[in-house]
Amino acid sequence: MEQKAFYQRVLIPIGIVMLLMILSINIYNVSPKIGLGHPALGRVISNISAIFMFISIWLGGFIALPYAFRAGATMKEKVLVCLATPAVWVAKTIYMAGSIYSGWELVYWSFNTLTIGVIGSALLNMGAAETICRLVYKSKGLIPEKVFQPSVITTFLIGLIIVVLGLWNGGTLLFYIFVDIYTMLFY
Amino acid sequence: MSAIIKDSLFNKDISRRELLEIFGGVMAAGMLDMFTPKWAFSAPAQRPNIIFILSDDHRWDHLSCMGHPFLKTPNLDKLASQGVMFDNAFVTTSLCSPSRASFLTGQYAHTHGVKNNITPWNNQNVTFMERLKKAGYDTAFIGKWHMPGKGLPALRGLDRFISFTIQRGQGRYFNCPLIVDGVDTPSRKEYITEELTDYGLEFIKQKRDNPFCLYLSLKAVHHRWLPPEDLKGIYSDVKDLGLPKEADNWLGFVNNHIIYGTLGSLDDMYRRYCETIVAIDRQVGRLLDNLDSLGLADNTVVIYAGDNGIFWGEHRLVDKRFAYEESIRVPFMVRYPGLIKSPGKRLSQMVLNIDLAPTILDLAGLKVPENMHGKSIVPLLASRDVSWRTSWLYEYFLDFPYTVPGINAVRTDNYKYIEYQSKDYPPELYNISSDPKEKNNIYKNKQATQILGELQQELIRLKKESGALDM
Repeated sequence: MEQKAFYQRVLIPIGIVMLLMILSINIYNVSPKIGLGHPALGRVISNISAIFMFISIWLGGFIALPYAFRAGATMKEKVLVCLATPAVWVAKTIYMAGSIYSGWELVYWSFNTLTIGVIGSALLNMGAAETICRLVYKSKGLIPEKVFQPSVITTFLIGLIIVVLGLWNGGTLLFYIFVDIYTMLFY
Repeated sequence: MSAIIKDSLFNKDISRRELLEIFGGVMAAGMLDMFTPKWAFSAPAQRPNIIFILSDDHRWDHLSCMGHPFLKTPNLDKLASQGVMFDNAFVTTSLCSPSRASFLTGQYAHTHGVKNNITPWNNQNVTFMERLKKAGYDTAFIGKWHMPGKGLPALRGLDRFISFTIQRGQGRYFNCPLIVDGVDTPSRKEYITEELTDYGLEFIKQKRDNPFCLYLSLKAVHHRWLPPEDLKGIYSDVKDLGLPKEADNWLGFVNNHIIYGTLGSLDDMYRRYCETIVAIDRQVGRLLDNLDSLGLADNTVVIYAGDNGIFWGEHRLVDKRFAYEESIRVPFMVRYPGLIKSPGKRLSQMVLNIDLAPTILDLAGLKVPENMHGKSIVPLLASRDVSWRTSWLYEYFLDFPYTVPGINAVRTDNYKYIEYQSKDYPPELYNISSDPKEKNNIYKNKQATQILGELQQELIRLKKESGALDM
């Protein structure tokens, strides 16, 4: 498969998802102000922007990876493409938490269930999107490799385990473990 | 005293000195009466039984008698109509564990030490239950303990201690395993609120010579807001939930609200919340009916309160912790036919969770210890014209991993001033009278300069008075 330029393999896929995230977050944040004058319109805008916000942060790999795949990105580039947006979002949340926590507490905080969950979700949809792309391109005779690569399946399974554990019992299982470890470390 | 006099006067020859001592004692007893509160003259001779029902995250305005648009709570309404409803009841820390410890000890979190959901309960703390036990009450704590620490503490002064430790003390709505007087015990009833009420009723029905105190601490209505099967979906047809304009269905997913985000959309969560309150109401009804049928109603004080409020989209928040009204204001009602002569009254005085312990001790005829920060509300219940607090201190301590900074606030009848322990959160000042929803922060308003200065001074005074500055 032809390998296109770096910006096509990496920058464009990252840019699409990142732009979607930035736009949707900002539109979502102004939607209440719109809603004050026009409640119905505000509700529609908040719903649409929230859906795109959710997709870009939690399911961005499904958008970015097919672009990167088509442009002939290497496996390392695909990992970068899928993790870039979640990583920026995580960095933003850690920066915001930095006004409340500091030092080692902040370091530990950055491993909270939300940040781990978003990375887990990125791995999950990276593995799934890569397998789907391989399936489609293999059926068209565009790639010679096997569809199910061990590294891809492993990535998918790790992501799946993290996401399932993160959602287990309404999200409380990992949360309580996280707090228990914090208590052991800091109290 | 009377036995001594009889013995001295009629069975013995007594000296003039002894006679003077007796006379002095009688006079002193008479003098003491002068300082006995007036309400005590009309109080029943028998010490009252006490039932305190504490719900979790039950917000003050989520009762039909408080004008909720669709929620039906006939039994809680009945309780309010037969007693006194406090329209301005607050918690001094809007978080489960600190607030619960404040109810039990009558102290602020900075004194009892349970500052958040992580700092452990110090078993040196003296609860009002312990004091009641020493005074001859039969006591039972049944339900959610939920204070940090390993397992359940060896609480002093309890005849029965039934609780749970599963889910870090949060318990489960269905089939929750219990610890009954130290013994792991499977659930007998499927639904937790009914289960705990059953245990409460068993305790009340025991034959006894002593008065009793039941502390019924419910799991509901904490998240995940699960009603019993027959109440599931009773509000699914309600189209206009009355949620605030600034709310949207996605709020549970943003601002690091991971726990709320996994539980559904805001509308769904809110419907379940209301349905779960109905389940509480039903069990409160059972309890009241049983008091009637047992003939205990007249001499039993029944108090219902919530441990803190909850946001349903107000200020674009879910959860609690912040010092806004939705978070800090709780239902608080007291029924006691023996004392309340004009039932159905609604009072506007600001009462606090730390007032519970002194109130109960006062009702039981016990001295209120000086280390309690709260005040007995008995004079208010007895319709006495007393001067009451005009301001109080709110405090919130960092609770890992929640991204809500430490908070200190002062609430007066008309104003609220809030300070955050983070540079990213500027101070806030609200005129509660003209802006009850706290939409308009007047902190930088030049016309508010004087009141701002007064409130800042008041905050320092309240901290000093309660010992918060020494912490």
